Amino acid sequence: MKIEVADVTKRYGEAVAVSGLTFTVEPGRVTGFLGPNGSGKSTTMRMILGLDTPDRGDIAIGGHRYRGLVRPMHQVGALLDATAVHPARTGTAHLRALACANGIAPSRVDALLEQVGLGSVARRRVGGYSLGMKQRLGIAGALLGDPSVLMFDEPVNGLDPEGVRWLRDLLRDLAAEGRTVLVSSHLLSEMSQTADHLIVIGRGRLIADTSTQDFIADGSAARVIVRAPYGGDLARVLIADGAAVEARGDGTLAVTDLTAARIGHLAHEAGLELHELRPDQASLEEAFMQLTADAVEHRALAAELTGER
Amino acid sequence: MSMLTATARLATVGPAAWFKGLISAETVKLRATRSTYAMLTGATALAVGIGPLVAKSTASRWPHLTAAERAGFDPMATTFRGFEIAQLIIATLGVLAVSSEYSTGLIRTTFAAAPQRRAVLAAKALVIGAIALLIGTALSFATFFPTQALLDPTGTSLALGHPGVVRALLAMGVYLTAIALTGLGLGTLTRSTAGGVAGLFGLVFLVPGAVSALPAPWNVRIGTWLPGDLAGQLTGLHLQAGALSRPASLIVLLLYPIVFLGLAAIRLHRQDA
Repeated sequence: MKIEVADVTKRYGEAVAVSGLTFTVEPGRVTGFLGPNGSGKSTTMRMILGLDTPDRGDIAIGGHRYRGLVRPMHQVGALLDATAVHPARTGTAHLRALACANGIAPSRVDALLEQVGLGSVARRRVGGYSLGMKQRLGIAGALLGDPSVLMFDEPVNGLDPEGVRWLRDLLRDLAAEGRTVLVSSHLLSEMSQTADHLIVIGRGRLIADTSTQDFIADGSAARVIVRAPYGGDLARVLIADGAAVEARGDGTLAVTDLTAARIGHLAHEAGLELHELRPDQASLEEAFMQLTADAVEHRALAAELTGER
Repeated sequence: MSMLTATARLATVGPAAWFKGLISAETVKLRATRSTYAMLTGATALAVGIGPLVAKSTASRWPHLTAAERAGFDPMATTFRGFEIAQLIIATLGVLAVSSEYSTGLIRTTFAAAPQRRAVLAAKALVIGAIALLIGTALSFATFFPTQALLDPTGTSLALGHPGVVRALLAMGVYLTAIALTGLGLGTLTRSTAGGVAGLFGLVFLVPGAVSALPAPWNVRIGTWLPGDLAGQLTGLHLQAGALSRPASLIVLLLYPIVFLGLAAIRLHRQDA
């Protein structure tokens, strides 16, 4: 089942949260929903779940509007906000209420709590859970109905490194089983390790809808980190080819205006040894920020020119 | 290990089974929340405690009362003296059934799990209504017997078989149900515990005060339509002058939850969760 978002606009009073947003989330892969905080990711997810109604446009899951689904957890599982739990209830009770409303057996609740690693605290009150434990509880809730569409809003928040690895494996497994998986994040570095496909938004508008590989390849032109035993010689070769090279304190070179492939090729031709050659992750993040920030500025400028707002 | 070894199958579900699921979900929530028990305990202590206390002190003062005071004494009203406060607690249970979901954000999970919001509200209303009716009626009877026993020395005590007594005791259960459901409606409309409780407090305590300050005959005419007064009309053994007929007062009482829940259902359906 696909998630189809078609020309959706949502305003809250004067503020435009989402504007003319169109994208499709395909099954069988992990789709990252990427954008800075406040870019409209959560709003979009709420609209997909029928919680907020778009002012314009349409959203369908497997061809249906969410609010028309009966016992929807069998088709769509979602975690929007892990902290949105009643602190006085136990993990078991929290999930059991959801299970009841969707005709899911209580045994399934116990099994899932065990599988997400909350078996030992299932009968403790949720108020005492850490954020990571609440994330696991929310993920268990999303999986309760064995749905073919899964949606998680910033699920990594609060997870420890082991939990992050667990979540990545889980997301990949779910996608490998042919499910539609949409995961939001404001960190490109995190999404680049999990998502096969990226939908990038800034200020409620679509910026990119592309494979993660392509998105990173585009962005990686920004800066490449090189470690070479004869750094000085290599720097001269690269500068001669039009690159800007900066020697960094740790003995590496930060190269801009050349791709990693071109740098490797030049080093090979010059017979210079390389020990490390990688796109600078930090610069990727910067490029992403730049991209979304540009979108914001362009729009503000355009609005000013056309007298909008 | 795959996360999804157990499969949760979607059987084609009939409307009755579907709605039953919503009711069990609300029952699970209420039973799994400690404050439910604390509040019911508090309501019980107040309701069952205060009536007999007042009865005991009345009985001890009885020899010193004037004839007029004795004639004006109402043994049925004495039974329900603790219910003035207890009703607020029971009604707050209704407010909390929905407002706690708004304050924690859980309401979104609830509506994602069951997008038919008006049906969710109906399920909440059934569960809260059933508890209020059950507990309210039980408290009513449980308070009646000790109160009347302690009034025995005054010679005014009522037996269960006295005309109108059973009707009055049942009416208090119905009144508490109506006020609890009004609380649920107010909690849904205000989306806040403070707002819902303030609304209840206003309806039960402040509005009657304001209305009684109106010029006659409006103070009585409007006053008889207010919940607190309706409780007195429904549970009194004798109709007071200017009071509504019993069927009329029952209908007016039921209008409160109907109107507030109706408005709440409209708001739930139309507005963003």
